[in-house]
Amino acid sequence: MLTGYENTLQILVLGACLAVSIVRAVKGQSRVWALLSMFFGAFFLGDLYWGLYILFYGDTPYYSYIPSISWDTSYIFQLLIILHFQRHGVPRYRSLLLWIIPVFTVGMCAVYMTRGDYLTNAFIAVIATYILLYTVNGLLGLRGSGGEDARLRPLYLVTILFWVLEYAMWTVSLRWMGETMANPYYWFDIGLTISFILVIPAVRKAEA
Amino acid sequence: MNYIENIFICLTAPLIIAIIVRPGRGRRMMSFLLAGMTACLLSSYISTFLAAVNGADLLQASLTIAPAVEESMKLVPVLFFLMVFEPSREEAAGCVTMTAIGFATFENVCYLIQNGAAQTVHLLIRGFGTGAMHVVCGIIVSIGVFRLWGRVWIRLAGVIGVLSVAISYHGIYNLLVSQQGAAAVIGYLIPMFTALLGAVFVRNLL
Repeated sequence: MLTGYENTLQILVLGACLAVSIVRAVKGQSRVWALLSMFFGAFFLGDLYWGLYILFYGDTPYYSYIPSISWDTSYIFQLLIILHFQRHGVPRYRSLLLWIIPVFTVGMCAVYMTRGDYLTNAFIAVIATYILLYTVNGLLGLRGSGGEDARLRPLYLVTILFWVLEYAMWTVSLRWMGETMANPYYWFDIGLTISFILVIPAVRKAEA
Repeated sequence: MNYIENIFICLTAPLIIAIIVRPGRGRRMMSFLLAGMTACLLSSYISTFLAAVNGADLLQASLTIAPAVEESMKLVPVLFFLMVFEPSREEAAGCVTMTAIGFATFENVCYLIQNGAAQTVHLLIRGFGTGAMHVVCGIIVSIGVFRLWGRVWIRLAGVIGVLSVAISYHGIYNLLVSQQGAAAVIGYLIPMFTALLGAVFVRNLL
């Protein structure tokens, strides 16, 4: 029941975010808002399929190709949004600290592969590495910069927040603690829902 | 036994003749109608094969495997056309729609052969629902492909992206129409409603 409520909340929020971004894409003829619509749309459809399947069959789908494809696609669009804003180049922040990202994503991928399928987890590891490298590099490159690129800071922060919450959710769900609010999975998923709302002002500021 | 190949031959024979004898723009449109029907035939083979490999029953196959296979197959002739002939947006949009119509027509005929043609109201709803769903998926793909047909990496990511959006949309439709009562009616109405919305917004997006 709790999963159903939480899933419904996320679907409603994503639906609202999708509507806002579609209206902006159509009004402004803007590629970045079209990409954001695709990001929200893909995640929304994945959630909707997942929610409807649970509603009709009382269980998660045995073959979860379709929601997985949708969620993975939303990550592609998130990467495209980041790349769109970095198309004119960003200051490169070269540091050994950045190696933490691939070490973390590949390590977590190995852990998740013990439970899930190889292809999806490998894909997520690759795309998460790219997104986090671009955003963390961009964020570190902005340090002390009060210039034009500083407008990208909220977008970088909300993207990093999104991925921290995704990884937290996946990790917590390895040891399922049941459908109770004591299960941190639900809190992380609510945080993820909030991060969707935060994406809109972040993109608006980045575009300004 | 459906004898799907025999149905395919009967439906496509006049089309093939028309494609051979008729010159001009009409030939291209009919070619894509034929491509849509062919994509539907091949999809049924591939879905059946994948269902057998995965040990999925008919319901599981229609909910999880068929949407991915069908949308991918529908995209193949369109991608070929875009990459080889580099058409204008209007030309390509027409071809995407014709492929979707060909696919939906062949699927509806197979449904009729399998389930009979006695229930007019149900077939009316199903015919419009399925037709609208395939056209809407085609439009989703066209909008994405045209808006993201930029640099190579955007093109690749964009095609994969819009394809998966179409797959999910198709999957949700199949999930809803596999139910009884209100859920099925909602399932049939969603594509028609989306098609109406598309009629309002699509000119701005294409």
